[in-house]
Amino acid sequence: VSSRAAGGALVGLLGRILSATVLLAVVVGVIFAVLLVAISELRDSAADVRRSSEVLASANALQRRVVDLETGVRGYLITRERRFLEPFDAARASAPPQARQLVMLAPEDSMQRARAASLRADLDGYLSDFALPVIRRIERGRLRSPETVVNEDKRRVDGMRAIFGRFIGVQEGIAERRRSEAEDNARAAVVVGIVGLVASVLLVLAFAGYLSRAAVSPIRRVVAGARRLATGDLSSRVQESGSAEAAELGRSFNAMAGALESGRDELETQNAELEAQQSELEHTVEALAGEKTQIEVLHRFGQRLTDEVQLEPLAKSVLSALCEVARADVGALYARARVERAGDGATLLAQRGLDPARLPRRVRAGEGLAGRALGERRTLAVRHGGGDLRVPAWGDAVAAHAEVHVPLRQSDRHVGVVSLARLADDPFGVEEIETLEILTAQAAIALSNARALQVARHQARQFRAVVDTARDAFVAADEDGRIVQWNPQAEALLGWRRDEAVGRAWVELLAPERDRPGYERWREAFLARGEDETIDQPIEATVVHRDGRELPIEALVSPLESDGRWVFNVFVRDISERLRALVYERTQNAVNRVLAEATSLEDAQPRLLEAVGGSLDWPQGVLWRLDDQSRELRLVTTWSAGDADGAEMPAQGLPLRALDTEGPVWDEHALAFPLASDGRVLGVMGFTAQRVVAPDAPMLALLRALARQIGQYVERKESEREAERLKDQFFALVSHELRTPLTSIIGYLELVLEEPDDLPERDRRFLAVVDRNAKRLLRLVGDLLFVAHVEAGRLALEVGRVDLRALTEESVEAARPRAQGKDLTFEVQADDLPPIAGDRDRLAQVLDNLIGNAIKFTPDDGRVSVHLHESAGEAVLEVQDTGVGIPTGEQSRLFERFFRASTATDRAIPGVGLGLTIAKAIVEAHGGTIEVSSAEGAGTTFRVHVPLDRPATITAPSAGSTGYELAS
Amino acid sequence: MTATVLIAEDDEDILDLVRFPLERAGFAVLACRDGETALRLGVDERPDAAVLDVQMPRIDGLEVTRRLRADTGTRDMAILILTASVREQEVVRAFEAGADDFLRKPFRPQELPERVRVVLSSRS
Repeated sequence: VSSRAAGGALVGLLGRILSATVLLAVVVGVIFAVLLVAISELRDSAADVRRSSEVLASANALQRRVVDLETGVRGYLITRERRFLEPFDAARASAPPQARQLVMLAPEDSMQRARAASLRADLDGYLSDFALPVIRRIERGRLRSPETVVNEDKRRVDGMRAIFGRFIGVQEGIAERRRSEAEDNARAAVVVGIVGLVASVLLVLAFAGYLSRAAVSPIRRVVAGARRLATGDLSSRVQESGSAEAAELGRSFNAMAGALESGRDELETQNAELEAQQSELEHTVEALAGEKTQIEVLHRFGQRLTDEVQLEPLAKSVLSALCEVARADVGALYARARVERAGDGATLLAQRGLDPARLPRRVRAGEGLAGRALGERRTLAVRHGGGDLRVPAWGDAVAAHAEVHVPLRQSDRHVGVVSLARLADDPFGVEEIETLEILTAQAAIALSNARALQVARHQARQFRAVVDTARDAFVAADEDGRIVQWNPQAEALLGWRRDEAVGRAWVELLAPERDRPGYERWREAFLARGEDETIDQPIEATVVHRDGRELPIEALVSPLESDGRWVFNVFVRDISERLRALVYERTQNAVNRVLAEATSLEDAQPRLLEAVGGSLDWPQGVLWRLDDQSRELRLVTTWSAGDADGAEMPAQGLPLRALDTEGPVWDEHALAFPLASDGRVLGVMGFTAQRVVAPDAPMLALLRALARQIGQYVERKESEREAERLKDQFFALVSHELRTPLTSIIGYLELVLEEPDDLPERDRRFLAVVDRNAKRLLRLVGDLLFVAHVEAGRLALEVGRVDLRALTEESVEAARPRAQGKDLTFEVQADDLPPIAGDRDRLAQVLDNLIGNAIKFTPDDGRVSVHLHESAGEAVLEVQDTGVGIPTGEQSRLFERFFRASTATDRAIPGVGLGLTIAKAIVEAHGGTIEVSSAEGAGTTFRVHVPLDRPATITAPSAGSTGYELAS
Repeated sequence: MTATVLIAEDDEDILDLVRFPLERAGFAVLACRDGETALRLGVDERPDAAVLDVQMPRIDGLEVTRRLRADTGTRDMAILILTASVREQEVVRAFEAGADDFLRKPFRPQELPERVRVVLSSRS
């Protein structure tokens, strides 16, 4: 039944009852309304009756007054006694108000009202127009005819009496009519009341009847049905008629009854089944009781296993439990001890009822029954017939009748073996063995775990020992960055004790503020990826010591994942010394480089300051020289790092102390050390910095070494400069002093030989010899000076574009007369080459020298050939002769100055041995090479290589300079 | 008009070697053997040209040249420097001091008058 239908049915019944109630209320209301109307009319009628009675009473009263007035007047008139006027006076006072009242009381009938008004007017008229004037005339005694007056009185009163009579008659009629109307109304009201009452009662009864029929009787039907159900009559049904609710109720009841009936049928079936199962259950319970004992055994066994975690006590516990369960008198347990590897066999860990001294310490696979059980991984049970059989494995004091060996297995590896024995002749049953196998399987796991625990603890102890004795500091932090390990070396290196450090965030404890975000990012990145390229690589970093110092360290980070969480193991090594050593090395190298590269002392001095200050992070440096005479410090040069500023160090205090102590001195912001050579102090180097850290021993050693090195360099450079100066002076002197007499000799010879024809033939010849030798001497002086300059590194080239082919041909032509003089075959083959960058005059000097030598050393009728060509980007000049040659052993010395080959000296061929030295210097200044190949007696070949593509950047030609003038 | 040439050379032989070809070529010659005298003669006599040796006692030829160039009266004198040095630096120094030309020893005596004429014409 849907809820909508149920709701509809409910509303149906309620609606009916409501509408019936409303109908009842309306009918009763109408009845009461009619009754009220009737009562109201009745009351109006009663009021009318009462008023009519009042009017009548009032009219009668007034009539009596009028009578009193008349009798009064008449009595006084007749008797003239005042006594008769007393009623008159009383009536005279009350009559007019009564007349007024009557007029007011008689409004409903116009005729009556007119009569009342007339009565009032007549009364007033009687009193004022007649009675009172009569009385006054009587009193005054002026009444003339009393009879007339009596008649008048009588007439007037009779008139009033007639009106009263009519008024009262009419009024009595009205009153009578009113009374009968009131009675009618009262009767009608009674009838209406009785009818209404009866109708109401009837309606209520009808309503009650309807209610009982619509609601109660279906319920009663259902109650009756339910009562029948209760008595067991499940087939009972009720009528499904009546109002919607009643029908619904009936249907529901019938459905329920139907369900009950079918439920009862099903129950009866199930009941039968249950009874069948009951007996089965009873069997099972019996079986379970048996198993329960075994489970309890297992449980107790398991309990004992978990009670103990140490390997040996656990083995004892296992063995005694197994003995109890198996009712074994003696037993032994062999298992893999901590140090044994799998497959090695097993060691005696526990025994019961046996002397351990008599038992073998170890069991090997295959040895004895226990060994076989161990090796074959299966249970072996043995029964011995004779009671006196002694089993060697058990020790000779025990005679066992039954023994069983159960291997301790974990997965398919053996952990050990348990051997049990009974002294009585009571073999182990199959079920007992099964139980034993189950228990030993458990025990194997527990023993294996215990062993693993022991190994783990041992390893942890080992690890701790390794960590504690490690040379390096060791710090471990968990995933959240909390320190979990901190070895004594870490305490020593970082200043924090273990108990202070453990639990703190390592970043806060150790990292400088500036590095912390980077470490956090690294940690997050690592945890996200689980790897990083910096892992297991030494990384250099900075940590903060407890006292605030920053330490350079090298760290080796090895993260280890354990139970899903990472632990960062870090070995930390102080590398400040190493870094310092590196800095010192760098400083030393920088100084070495400056000393090697500097072209002069002036160039070296600021660079030395930079090398030392820059390497050691002292941003400002000063160099003073000690004046030998005045013993004062003289500022030579200063240097400051690009971003450094601040005051220059004064030449007092620290530098003077450095002079006095002859060693490095320093204060908070400056450091100075003397430069000395062979104990002679030459100057002082000073540096300033924000903070000068007191130099350690290696630093002091470095500074002393630098002081010595720089000092020696300065001294050497100064000596060299002095030597240079002396040499220059010498050469200037030589140049001047040799050339001055030569100038005279050659100059005057020129003048003398101006007119050779004026001279005798002999003089002319002799003077020519003088002239030739003077010029030779001049050339020699020039060569000597040239070589000296070359050795002083002062050979300067005047670079221009040089056409080597033209130059070669010029040299050849210049030498041709000499060649012809010796009848030499003189040939030249010069290729056209691109112009090279070079010094024309110097290259010509080389050509002249080589060609001149070739002619000079070649005997008459020999051959000299000159060949110029290009090869591999180089100009190659070959000068070949068929001369005396050079001994092989002398060829290597050929380019030394003043060296002369024996073949030349032997033949007294003139020369001083400078030509080739000069040629080699010139060729090398052009970036080229010169080489010789020769065989004694077979001639010589000189080969010159000059690069063609060398840029012309040697020196720019100086104005007016013509270089060396060797000969004219 | 005969041009006057001042010669300063401390070596007497060379002094004659300079004087002879110049006189032969028609120049009037004022000769002296040291720098001080050369300077005085230069200022007092206002020669047209001077041939000065570099190396002389007390005041060398380069210094004489500088002072002559500094004096308004002798500022425009034609000056030829004579030296026995083979160093190029010497040449540079000569020109820097204000010399018009430069002659290295040993020299050809016959060449001298022509060189003097050249510097004179370049000055006039």
